[in-house]
Amino acid sequence: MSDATATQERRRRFPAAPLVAVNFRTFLTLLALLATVSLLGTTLATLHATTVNPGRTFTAGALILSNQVSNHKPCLSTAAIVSCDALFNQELTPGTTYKAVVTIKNEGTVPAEVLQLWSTGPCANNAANPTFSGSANLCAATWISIHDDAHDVCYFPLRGPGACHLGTAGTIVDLANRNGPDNPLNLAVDQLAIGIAYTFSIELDPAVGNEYQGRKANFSITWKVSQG
Amino acid sequence: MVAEEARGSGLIHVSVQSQAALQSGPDAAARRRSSFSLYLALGLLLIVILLLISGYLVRLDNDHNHHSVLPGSVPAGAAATGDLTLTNTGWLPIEVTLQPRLGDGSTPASIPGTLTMTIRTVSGGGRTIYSGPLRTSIGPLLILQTGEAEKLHLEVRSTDTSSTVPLAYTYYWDARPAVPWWLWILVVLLVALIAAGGYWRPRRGGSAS
Repeated sequence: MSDATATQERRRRFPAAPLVAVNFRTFLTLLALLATVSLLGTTLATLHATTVNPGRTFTAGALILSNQVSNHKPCLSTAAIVSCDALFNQELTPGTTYKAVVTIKNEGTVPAEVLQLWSTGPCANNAANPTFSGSANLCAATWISIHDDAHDVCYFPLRGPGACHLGTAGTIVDLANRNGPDNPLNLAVDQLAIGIAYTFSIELDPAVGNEYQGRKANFSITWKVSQG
Repeated sequence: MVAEEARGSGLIHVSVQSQAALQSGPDAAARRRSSFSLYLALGLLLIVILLLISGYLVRLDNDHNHHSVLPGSVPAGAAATGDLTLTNTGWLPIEVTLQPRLGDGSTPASIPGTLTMTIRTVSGGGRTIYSGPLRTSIGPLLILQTGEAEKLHLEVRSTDTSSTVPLAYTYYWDARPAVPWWLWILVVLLVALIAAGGYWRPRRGGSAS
């Protein structure tokens, strides 16, 4: 067989175009296999799953007592004992009733179980102006009442449903004597989360004489909220 | 239709194959085989991709997932203990590592040297799989086969006898595939088989022109 014939025979047996086509498929096959192995190998090397058990940590709930006197800025119990706005800070005319509304609210994260109120100490009275002042005890002549507006309950001078009645049986001295720190008034807490309005009313006995003029009284109320 | 022209010594030889001829004979068989190999390789790639994105390959579950196992502190000179069960719910065997981290997921700079940890398996009479200092990464502790569950008893002991030591850690159980080495041989053989099937062409027996 001549060289030319042999070449033709080789080209016939190994045709160029179909060979290229087969090799291209083979190339793609190898590419796909390489991608498969690479993907499998690298991904398995980095593949992982995690489950978590968090540590047991505790956060104490908070009871935050909000005390808002007559729509003033609320006073929050940011410390164990905080001083809030004064209830009454005016001159009293005998026979005139003065009122102050205190809204108490639990702004904390845990429910309150106990809400108490007491007179912090004895009512102190002195002369506002010694030159023109009398010498009588203003505390003993000033009537006071404490009313829970949300529940419509009177806590002082007499505990009971409905309105309170000011009178000689319920002076500030009486409040200090009857409901001091050792014998606080226990108040309802069921609406403390939304706020309970208490109305404090005071009135200077209309029968008082000049011996009370110019006298100044000072007394404090303490609110306490707790969980049992 | 495929046309081939060969020139030599002034002789012009033209070979023509019809489409029907291309679809039969050794060339056609080789082409079919290479196509089959290509489709097989592409199918394999697709299956691997689907498997990887499915998330089923490596899965670890524990019966206290997102719930605490150990208390928040260890009393002076005492131990804190807890139990949990790890289960391999994935399709591959896994090896498990324990990583105590801080609450925000970061690795603590250091763990008090007074804390030691012991991890025991509960089933099968119990065996200690780790006993040593509480470190930021402990293990691999054990290998779980597909579907296998293992109940573990954890104990963190404080050698500090003067004060309580806080245990403010979040415990991450990390699972990685533990593929046996011989599986890779199977993979290589399969790949080689597919590649050979696409490349191999039988010797042609006769002329088609």
